[in-house]
Amino acid sequence: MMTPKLGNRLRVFCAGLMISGATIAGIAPAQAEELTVYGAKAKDHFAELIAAFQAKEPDLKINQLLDSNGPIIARLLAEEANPRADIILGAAVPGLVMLEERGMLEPYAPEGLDQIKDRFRDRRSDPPHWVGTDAWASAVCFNTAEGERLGVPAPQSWQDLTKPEYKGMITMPNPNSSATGLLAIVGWTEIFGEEGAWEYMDALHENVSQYVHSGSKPCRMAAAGEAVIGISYPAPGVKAINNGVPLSVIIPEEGVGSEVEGVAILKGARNPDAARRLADFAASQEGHEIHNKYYALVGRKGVSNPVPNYPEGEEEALVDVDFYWVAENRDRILAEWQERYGRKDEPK
Amino acid sequence: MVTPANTMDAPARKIRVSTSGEDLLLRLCLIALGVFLVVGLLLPIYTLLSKGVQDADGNFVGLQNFVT
Amino acid sequence: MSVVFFNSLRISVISTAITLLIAGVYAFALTHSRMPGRGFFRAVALMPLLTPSLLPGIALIYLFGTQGFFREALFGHSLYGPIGIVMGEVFFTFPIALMIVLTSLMTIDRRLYEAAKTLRAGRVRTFFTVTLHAMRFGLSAAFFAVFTKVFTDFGVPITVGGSYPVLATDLYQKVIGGFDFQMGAVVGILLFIPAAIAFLIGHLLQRGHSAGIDGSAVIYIPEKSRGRDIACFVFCAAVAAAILGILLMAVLGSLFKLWPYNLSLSLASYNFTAHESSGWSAYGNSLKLAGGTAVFGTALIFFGAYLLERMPGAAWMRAVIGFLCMVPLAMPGMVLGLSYIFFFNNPSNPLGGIYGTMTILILSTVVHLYTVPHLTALTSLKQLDPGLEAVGSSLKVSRFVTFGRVILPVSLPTILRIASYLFMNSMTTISALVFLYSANTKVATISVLLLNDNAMLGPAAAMSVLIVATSAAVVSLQWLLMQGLLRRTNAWRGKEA
Repeated sequence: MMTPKLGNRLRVFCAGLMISGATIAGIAPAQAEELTVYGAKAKDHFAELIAAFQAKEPDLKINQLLDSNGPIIARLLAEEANPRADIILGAAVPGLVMLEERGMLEPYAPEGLDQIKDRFRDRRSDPPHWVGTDAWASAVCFNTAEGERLGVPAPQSWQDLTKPEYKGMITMPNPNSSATGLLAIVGWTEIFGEEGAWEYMDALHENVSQYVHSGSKPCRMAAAGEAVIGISYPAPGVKAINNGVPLSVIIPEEGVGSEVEGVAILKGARNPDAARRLADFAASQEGHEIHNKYYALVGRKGVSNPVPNYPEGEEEALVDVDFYWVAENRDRILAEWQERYGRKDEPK
Repeated sequence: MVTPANTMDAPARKIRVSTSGEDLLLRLCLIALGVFLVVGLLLPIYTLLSKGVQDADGNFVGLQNFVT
Repeated sequence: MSVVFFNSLRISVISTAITLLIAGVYAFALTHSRMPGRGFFRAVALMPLLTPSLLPGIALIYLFGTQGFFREALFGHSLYGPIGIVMGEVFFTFPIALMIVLTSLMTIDRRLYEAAKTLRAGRVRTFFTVTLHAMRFGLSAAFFAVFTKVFTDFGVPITVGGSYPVLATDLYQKVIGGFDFQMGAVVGILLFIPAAIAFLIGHLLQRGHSAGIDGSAVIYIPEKSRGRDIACFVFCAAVAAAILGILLMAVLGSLFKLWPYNLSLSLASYNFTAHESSGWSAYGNSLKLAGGTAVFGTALIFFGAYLLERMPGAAWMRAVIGFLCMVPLAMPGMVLGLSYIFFFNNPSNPLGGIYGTMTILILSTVVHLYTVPHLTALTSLKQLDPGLEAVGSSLKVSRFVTFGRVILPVSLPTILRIASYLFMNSMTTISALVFLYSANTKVATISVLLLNDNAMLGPAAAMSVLIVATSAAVVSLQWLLMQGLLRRTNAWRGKEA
């Protein structure tokens, strides 16, 4: 006795259609070839690399997830049983080492590996599990306009930063989420010894206004005048200076720790071919020219274009850092740091 | 809900205004809605609450996690 | 842990108290004075509803941050921390408080005032015994609604919270920063419980109050009083100026080339592809989410309400499901999102395939926003004559035809209102999504969060403005459609629906 159903039947049908449609759309594999990239690089560096790679591969759908080093590594660890990423484009080497030790990385020798400097590749195996693209050192970003307004001079050394006149003016990345933060700490460990480093950080803590989530944020905050001093790394500061911001990037006298970031392919990647192509690109001359725009120190030999306003003496001031030591001691150091200084953390 | 106008009838009786086939369909829809809410709301909440009273390895620890 | 909990508590109480005070006076001014521009003031007061809660934080940075235009106004205190959070939350929750209090004021029977006057009660006495008394329920209900909103809010503290931890940001840090799901669940439960309690109390209060509305009440028309009108006007103008100020600051901020050193205006911040590797896709994803939620959600909620309200039989099942429909209102979005990770990302869950897709975002948003549209639909359906189905049956027409031919068209304004509510709220929501987004389902609000994370204030402001503009466009569209529709389909009512 069902007379022609209008309105509601249609609605129910449509609702049902939508539910099933949405579910199918979500679950079914996409038609186009896809590559999922996780990265912890600086935003603009990452964007440029992806754009250049995409230009070479117009049919490839690139899904990208960019965050700070800590969350990306944590996410990868959480997804260990069911990896969703194909390739890691830019993560700090200690993190990559950690993943490698858990057997999560696929060894691969990208094209042009012979041109890569020794420091910038996994020396423990061949083919390497990871290849470095660029390196950077800690640096201090100092807002000269704010400094003038508040009557404080530019700091020249790490020790300077503990002076009482800088109280509340400093921001620094939380090493738990940012490789840059960890890098600074590791540098201090090399310079002052581990005991000395904790003493130094106790003193520094007094002057810190906030610990932030991302590695470049302290420098950007200094560039925006939200903080006077940011402990970070040169690239964002240099960019700001070139944009006309009254900022200076300082390499502290005692020396600076350095960090290498690199590329690695995940074991169990859904699209290992495209992943290898991206790895090749990242290691290539073209890729390195892009890296060089942001960092003076890059993996490939012979690529070195001076970036205007990049601070002098970065390479000389580098303190030697043993990645494997860092990878081993990372958890312990981070836990202790959180214990001592976790309260001033920016809620991120 | 439609209630009988004649109050001399048993008060709780409702007039069924649909055929039994329709009735079944409506009930199914209602159940579907119920399932949706259970899957989308109750089960996740339950999972959360149970995680909250477990420790990192999945053993039940009651309210220990809340003791700080 | 307890420090964080009490921080949240403190902030919520302070912020709620301030909001209620301002909303109370504002509502009084709108209903009990003859000041000009009441329509305008009312419209402006509702504007914060269109914004994601990240927006007031960002605007406040431009206004009162270290480089803010009015930074001196804070007398040397930093914006980042409780001050900023309270300011942002007051902006964000003001419309909610206003709407609730307004309702209670608008339904005051005029005859009460006339009686007071006849009994020679002075103005002040009348105020306390009639006006404030009627506001009692409204204020208490508003207290709990606002308290819950502030207690569970994420967007404001994450932008201007500085180093002052609250539960919402602590939860985020534990899960996203450290992937400590264990403690995440604990914090989530701590967030959930006060919200659930507040919801219950508020709900009971509202039920008690609605019994007091008398159908024969006469609406109050205020008598003339110049002094009072001027005072009300000044107050409302100040509040409206503050609201508009924050909105405009966000727009202005998005137009600065390089704040704070280059304040020339340009659209550079809107060039998302330069700042963000995913470019405009975040905005596109928001549209997909909002559209999907609006379409799927409206169909589900309205049909669901219909089943609950107008279906004969199955009384206990309807009662249980009816109760379930109310639960989402007690769930903070972040807690819902977190529970979804636990439930759907479990390898043994057959539905786990939806994790990381747009589907789970739509699902979680529909569940998150379920209750309010559900109540709206119920109210509207209750007003329809119960005999409709009987008539249809006696005409030997199936129930579905009755639904399609009579109930749907008549309920069209309600359906539109629900769809627009869902769309608007999906555009601006962030709390449930922070845990559920993945590489290719990043939405606009998440994009704002990540941009702010990198201190890229301009693009963050730009994306926020885009979100607001879209919400506003949809709401205006809905309003226009409503005007036309009401005239045509509701003529049978005889009065405004």
